Parts: sequence; C-alpha cells; structure tokens
Amino acid sequence: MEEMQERSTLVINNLSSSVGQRTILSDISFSVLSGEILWIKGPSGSGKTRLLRAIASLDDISSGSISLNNSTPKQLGPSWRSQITYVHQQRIPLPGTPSELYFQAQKFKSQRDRIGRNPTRGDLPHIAAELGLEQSVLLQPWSELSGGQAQRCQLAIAISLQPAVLLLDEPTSALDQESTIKVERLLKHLVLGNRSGHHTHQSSPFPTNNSSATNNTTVAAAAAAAVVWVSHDPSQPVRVGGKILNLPLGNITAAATPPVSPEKPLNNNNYNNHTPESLPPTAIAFPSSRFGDPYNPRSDTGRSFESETGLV
Amino acid sequence: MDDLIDQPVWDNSNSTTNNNSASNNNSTSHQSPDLVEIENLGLFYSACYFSLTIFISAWFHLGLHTKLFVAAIRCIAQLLLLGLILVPIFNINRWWLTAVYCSTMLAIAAAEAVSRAPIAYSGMLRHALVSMGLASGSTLFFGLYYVIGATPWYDAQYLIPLLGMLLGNACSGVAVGLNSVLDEMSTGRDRIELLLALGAGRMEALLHVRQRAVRTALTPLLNSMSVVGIVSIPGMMTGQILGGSDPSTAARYQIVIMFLMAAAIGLSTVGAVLMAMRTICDDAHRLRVDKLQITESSAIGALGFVSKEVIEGWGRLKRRVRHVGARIGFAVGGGGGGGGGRARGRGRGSWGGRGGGGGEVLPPPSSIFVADSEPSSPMHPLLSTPRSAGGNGSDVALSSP
Repeated sequence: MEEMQERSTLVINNLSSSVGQRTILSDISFSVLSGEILWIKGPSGSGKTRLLRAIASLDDISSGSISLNNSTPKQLGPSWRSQITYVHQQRIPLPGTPSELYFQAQKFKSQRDRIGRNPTRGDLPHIAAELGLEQSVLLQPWSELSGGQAQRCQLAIAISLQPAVLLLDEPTSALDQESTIKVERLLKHLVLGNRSGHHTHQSSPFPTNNSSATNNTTVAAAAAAAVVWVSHDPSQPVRVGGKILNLPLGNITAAATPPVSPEKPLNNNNYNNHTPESLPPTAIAFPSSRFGDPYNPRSDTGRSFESETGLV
Repeated sequence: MDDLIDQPVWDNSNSTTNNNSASNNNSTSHQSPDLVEIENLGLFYSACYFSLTIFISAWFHLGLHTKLFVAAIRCIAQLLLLGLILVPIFNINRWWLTAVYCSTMLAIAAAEAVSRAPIAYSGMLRHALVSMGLASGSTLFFGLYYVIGATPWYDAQYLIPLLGMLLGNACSGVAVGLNSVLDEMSTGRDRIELLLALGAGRMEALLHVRQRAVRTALTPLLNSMSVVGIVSIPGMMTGQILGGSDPSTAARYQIVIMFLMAAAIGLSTVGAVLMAMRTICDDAHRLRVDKLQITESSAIGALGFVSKEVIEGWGRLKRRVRHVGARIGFAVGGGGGGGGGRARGRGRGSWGGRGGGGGEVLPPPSSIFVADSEPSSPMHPLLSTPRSAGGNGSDVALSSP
C-alpha cells in the first residue's frame, strides 16, 4: 500500500501581537514542517497561549503573516482551523459526552470538506485507549469526568480529527506521570507518521467516517502531523525531542541534553548513575530515572528505544 | 369579512335601536349598551384605590412608594396624552401623519429594547430598529391588507393599535433575545471557541446560542397562547367587549392578533439575534469579545436612553461645529501661503473670528477627535535587549528567567 505523505509547512513571519497598549509578542518568526515538534517555552505572561491562538486565527495579530502551504487564514476561512487545531489548556464545561462532541465536530462543513482527501478518520476509541482512558469514559457526560480525563478527551478528539498541525497548550498539566508518558508517546507516533499501524481500520462500537473503498486492513497512511507544544515541564523536550522556541526573545534552539548538576561528582566509577557524560552524543538524552524506563519494550508492539530516537 | 369593518367600535348608533327590541332578539350576537364613559370622578376613585398599594408599601417598609407614585403619575400623564394625540390622528386619517406617528413608536420601542440591556455593543440600536421595523411592518401590512382587509389598509383606527401591540411584544422579545445572545457569548466564550478551534464556521459554533435566544424570546408568547381564554380574557378582547362588540367577533380578532404577534416576535428576534451574532463573531470567524461593553446602569428605560442620547448628541454636534469652524478659520485666516491667502483671510474675517480671533494662528485642532495615543508602556526588559543571532546552544535554552 503506498503511503500518502502530505508534507505541510507552517510558516510564521514577523508576527507581532499586542493587547491594548502592551506588546506581548514581537517579531516572532519560525517554520514547522510535518514530522517536527516545536516546543514553546517561556515565563508566564510571555505570550505562549497568545501565540498559539494567533496561529489558530482565534485572535488577531497586529503585524506579520501566517501561512500554511502558502495559504493564509483569510483565504481558507474556517478550513484553516480544521487543518491547524488548537487544543485548549483549561478544561471547558460542555454539555453532552465526548463522543457527541466528536460527532458534532465531524459534521462541521470544513471537516466534511477535508474528508475527501483523506478517507479515513482517526479512531477515537483507539486513541483514547492509547492515552489510558477506558472505553466508557467517552460515553460519560463531561461534567462527570475528572480534570485529567477531560483534558485527555479533548486531546483525543483533536487528534482523531487528524489535523495537519496540532497546537497543544500544556496538554499534560493535569495529568499524572504515567498518563504524561502515554501522551508523549502517542504524540511522538503521530508526528512520526503511521509506522506503528496507528490509524488502522478496526471494528469499533463507534461508526467512523471510513468510506467503503478502504475496508482493507492496511489503509493509506495518515499524513504525519506537526506539533507545536507549550510546556512548562523542562524535561519534556528532553524526552521527546524537537526544537525549542524561547519566548519572549523568539530564538530557536535544539532540545538540549540535561544539565550537569554541580553537586554530582564526575565519577566514572559510579556505573549505576546514568550521568550525561557516559551517554553517546545523541540529540535525545536518556530519560531521567524517576520515570523508570518507559521506552523499553514493555508492550507487545516491539518498539525499541533506537527506533524512537530518529526524531531530531 | 366585510361586516368587521362596517361598524367602527365606537359607533353606537345601532346598539340604541336594538335595545328596544331586546326581547325579540333571537340571534346569537349580543348587542351591549353604550360604552360607559368614565368621568373624572371615576378616575379619582380608582386613584384612591391605587393609593392602597402605596399604603401597603409604606406599612411594610418596602421602600417602593416613591417609585409607585412616580409610575402612577407617568401612567396617567402618558395615557391621557395618548388619548389626546390619537383623536386628531384618527380624525384626519392621512397616511403621512400615521407614518410619522408610527416611526416615533418604532424608535421608542427600539430604544426601549436596547436601553435596559446589561451587555451592549456598538450598533445595537440600529440592529434593533431594522429588525423590529421590518418584522412588525411586514406582519402589519400582511395582517391589515389580507386578513382584516380595512378599506384603506393604512386606516389609522386599525393600524395604530395593531402596530402598538406588535411593537410592544416584539420589543420585549428582542430585548430578551439580545440579552440571551450577548450573555452567552461573553460567559460561554470558551465553549464557542472550542467549537471554532475544531473547525466550525461561526454559524455552526453559535447554533446553541441562537437556539437558546429564540426559544427564550418565544416562550412567553407560547405560554400565553396556551392559557388564553381559560385563565383570562386578553386585553384586546376585553377592550372590544367593553366597547360593545360581539364576543365572537372579538374572539376572532384576538386569534388574528395572537398569530400576528407570534410572527412579529419571531421574525424580529431572529433578525436581531442574527445581526448581533454576525457583529460579535466577525467575518474572520473570530469571537470578538472586545466588542461587548458592560453598561453601567441597566435600568434607565427608553425615555432615559433617548434623552441621554439626545444630550450626548447635542454635545457632539456643538463640538463638531466648533471644530469645523476652527478648521475653516485656520485654513482661511491663519495659514499664510501663496494664492492670496492673506487677502482671502481679510475678506472673511468673520469666519476667522469664529476660530477664536482674527490674526491668531490656531494649532491644527486634530486632537479633538483623535484619541491621544498614550506613550506605550515600557516593553518587557528582555525585549529591549538585542537578540543574539541564532542563540547559543544550551546555555540560552536552559537559562531560566
């Protein structure tokens, strides 16, 4: 089965945003391709959420330009947001259940127009299971879900709609460590593309928008996505990898190796300590020991650490 | 249908002749005696009974007696004035006079609809005027021309009371609908933006908003249509029965007016709500919460609103006239330059005088209508330092501010 890899390019040029008299963002420029993760880090109030909302065209910008594959938000209208989806940071009170929201979102005109090019839809129950949610959570009213469950449901719905670019505003802020690792793993696979058979057509209790032509098991690969990720956790870019955009300066750096803590002696005799100096010089550092060793193959999918370090 | 208009309500010539043959009257219609006039003494007695309410408020320390007294005085004055005004309008019965009166009614109704709103936006009054005017006007025309069939369809006797009822109910419907929409868009902003972020267009994201607004506006009419006749005889029917007409005729009028009211309320509410939604959620499908303004005092009513607008408008007009005069004076009197400007200035000294003195050079009065741009607050300290090109690897990335 040939893989349809649609590479999308999101280009931001000299973006400035101000609220009233205050300039929050000044002259931000970067570009993100499919298959890349861009982290946004900065102190509180430096405009991280503002930047994401401006990219998603939810807020207006005072100067600069945003383009996806050389189209501006004005040209695309609501289709812009179906390709560049912003996931809110806070939990939003909603009526109904997560599955109802998913069906409602699928019926939007801009989402229906996109379906022609990509006949499969993301499998929401599968994605929710990958995030550590039980199947029944999707059928419960939003008001009954806990904060972490609601956050993961919002994220799962956004991922299932398969946008070209995901804008994540602190998606793991309400999650415990185990769920955080699951989210990171899922998003890494999303960015890497459909190499682990993620969006396969499975029989599920929820009807999906699969067209009848793609009823075979090996479906066309979902396009690799790009992720712009706002995070306060300094170890996340280290674990997952990618580039970092530092606000408010707006400069781009690579995900760095963990810092050398001065109190630890540079003692090569201490083999149990995974100090940075003993590691091979890769762009992804070995995760810190407090999370155990999540990337070793505990599951039966046969994923190994080496196959996951391909991401720069 | 013609027998409805042959006898105007206040024409009592038939009823006097029929009273003498009351015993022989076997028809199903009922002719009542003359409309009983209320003398001034009757007004006084009803006022005395009303003062009981004021007494109750004083006894129980409700603090409402001043408001009740003012409301009573306003009620008496406004209604007597209305009676006085309507007599010549009905007698003259020219279309332009009726049109003038109807435009005044529409303007006051629109002002009433938007004046008590706790949340407002610029352009709200215009939208209320347009939606109420079009909805009530078309419903009225349809009702008068096709349903009731008055001989000139703009006959003041039918048009003004019907328009009054339609506007009164449309006014409250529009007020409720707009309040619901604007409140939902300000407090329920997150939910709307979630739907927008998932790719909804503005009409898709605001579906639940407009459903709730129109439902809220139409519920009172729905309730009254359900209980009318069982619980109470509504106002129009009461008036006609008291005026001496046949109850079955009055009932048919009441049905007609109920249907017309439903149409007017529904159309005007939907129109106002749609216009409000298209303004606050702009063409780029962004929710512009900055366009919503919280009004300080939300209970001034139409007359207070109109008088406030008139006073502000007069102040703006005076400033504008002064500004234009100053610019003319500056252009003609103050600015030397070629082309015989000075000669012109001498010739038009009176114009220059308006600008504040003949030979005086005025500063360009551009600051009156341009908001002073405040000096921008100092930017973030990190923004003022020059950026190092590209950044320097790890130390910049990990520097925690």
